[in-house]
Amino acid sequence: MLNVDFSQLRFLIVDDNAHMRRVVRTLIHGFGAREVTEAEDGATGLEIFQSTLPDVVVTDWVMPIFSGIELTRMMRSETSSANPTVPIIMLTGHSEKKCVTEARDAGVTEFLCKPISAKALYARVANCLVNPRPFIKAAAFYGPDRRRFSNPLYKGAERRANAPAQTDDAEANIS
Amino acid sequence: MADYEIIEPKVDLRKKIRVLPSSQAGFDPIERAEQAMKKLSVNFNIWMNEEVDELQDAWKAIQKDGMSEETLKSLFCASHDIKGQAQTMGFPIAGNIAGSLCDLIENVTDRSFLPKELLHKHVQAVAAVVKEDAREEDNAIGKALTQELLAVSGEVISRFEKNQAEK
Repeated sequence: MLNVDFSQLRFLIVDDNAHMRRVVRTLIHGFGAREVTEAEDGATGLEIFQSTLPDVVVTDWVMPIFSGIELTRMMRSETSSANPTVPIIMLTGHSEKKCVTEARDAGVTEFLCKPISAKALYARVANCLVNPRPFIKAAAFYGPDRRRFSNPLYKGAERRANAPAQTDDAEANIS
Repeated sequence: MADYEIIEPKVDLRKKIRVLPSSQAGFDPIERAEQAMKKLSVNFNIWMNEEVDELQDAWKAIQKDGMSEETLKSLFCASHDIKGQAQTMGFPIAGNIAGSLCDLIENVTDRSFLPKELLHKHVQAVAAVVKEDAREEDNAIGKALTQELLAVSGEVISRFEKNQAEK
């Protein structure tokens, strides 16, 4: 696995359970990050996100006030979010396929099922940073490209009917 | 006109990280995080007992106020926390029992089908496993208890789903 220096990154952990926040914070500090902020519910998490602009967000799913899914949708809002393309890692005990799909469709970057391990969390964080996926903005979706790879054997209809338009940012990056 | 746009992330985080050679001596982030967790683990017994207190408080509220959406939500949240943390904190059996309790509350959406006594048995089992410090996944009594609760809960969920399908 790649060794990545996380020391310049700022993390935000959003989880209503103090013990779990402590576990995640310990792991992230162990990875070498120095700046880790915590929030105990979705509303506080959003407030801290808007004011401190963290580089990576790790959020729980089930939380009071609003859930990790609702928080993700707010952070992905192009009109009101301070950084709609922030990497979001959803940490949850919900491992069912429908939950993974719901998280993905809300704009989550990486999904991590509990029980948490140092190796699994590190892999998710490193993947967000080293292999960032482009974002897709469509009428019903704003988030990291849900196609992680292109399947040359796929024979179905192309659901993205029209050719992609690229923003100035994207063009600047390509050049 | 395209029906979607491709956007590059606003902040290129690759500029804020450094990929280090894997041979770099003294830097193994996963090993370092695991060591930090090992130090933290001295708290896990106390933390699990606190989680069990939360679960028992949620149960007491059900006994006092009955099975309302509010009291069941508290019970679900307390058991969901245990389900998510127990393995990390070295109590996998307690985590499995808490998971079974979550499944019951989540799947049996018509509360009149939810056997109160079965919920209570789950709460008691989680508390007993933590109190007895039954950490090993192959603990004979803990394993038998988990299997029994999972089987009975599975039957309740199946009966409920069958009933819903017949409606």
